[in-house]
Amino acid sequence: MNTKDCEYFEQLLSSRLDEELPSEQQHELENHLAVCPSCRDFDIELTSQRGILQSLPDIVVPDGFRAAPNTLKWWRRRLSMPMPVAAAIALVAVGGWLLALRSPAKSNIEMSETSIMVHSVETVRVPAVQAIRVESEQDKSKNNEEEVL
Amino acid sequence: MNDLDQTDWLEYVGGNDAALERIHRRHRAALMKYCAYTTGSHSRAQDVVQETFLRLMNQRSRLTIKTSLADWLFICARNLCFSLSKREKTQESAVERLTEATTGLDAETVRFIEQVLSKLSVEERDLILLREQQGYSIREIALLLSVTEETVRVRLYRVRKKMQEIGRR
Repeated sequence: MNTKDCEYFEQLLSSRLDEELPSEQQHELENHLAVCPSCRDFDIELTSQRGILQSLPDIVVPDGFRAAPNTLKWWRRRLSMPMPVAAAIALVAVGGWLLALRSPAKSNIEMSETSIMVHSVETVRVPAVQAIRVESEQDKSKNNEEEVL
Repeated sequence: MNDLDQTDWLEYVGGNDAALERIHRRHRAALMKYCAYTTGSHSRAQDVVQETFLRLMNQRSRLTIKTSLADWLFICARNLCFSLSKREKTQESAVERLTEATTGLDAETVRFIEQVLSKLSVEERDLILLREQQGYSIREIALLLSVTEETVRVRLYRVRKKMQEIGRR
């Protein structure tokens, strides 16, 4: 039995381990194993390897190991929000900041003009109404006196 | 997706963070095991599993899991293990790191890890762990690696053969 032949049968043994060996090749393999101690050893070692690999112990999961640990950096925690939401918040924040930077003096003037306008409306309207009312009451009283007289 | 995962995932999407912790508790041991034996380090496995869940959290509102949450987590963790190994390229330290990941073992297992498993490349270790530890079928591995089933069979044979040759030295 030459080496090339054994390599072929070793591949069959590997396939048999994976339960992938067609039945016709199963018979061929059994015939070979009956006469080849090297391939029988290979088969025994394959089974032994599998046993060790399948019995590799679990890895200890440390205490306090959580999906989102408290020690996580704040920016990683922020990333837990959906990206479109995060992008929208960032856009609004940057937009607001840029608007605030744009012309701070102009906005102050506008505010003061508004307050002046409010005051002027109040100062103009109230006395005017009162004056009209006073005049009209005076007129009425005058008219009444005239009527009495 | 199994019923528990589906219920918890929907709860988490609805805003219940505790549901994510339940998913984490259910899957972290299996993920840790694969990642520790693939990267060769307990602490790196922990980092990879944590990063996997951060990525899941980032997908909160837009992830549609059609098959299995366990598969999604596993594939994500596996990709991260490979990214890590590509960045580091430190095969020399794999023995030490694998031993670190497996303290308190019997002598035969320690010998197997130190003298056989750690001598494989990350790709070879991944393949044999997918088959023997995670129990993936040849067909499932072929789909995962985007290769033919015959390629998987040949690669598995080569890894097994290599492990035997290393073990005899």
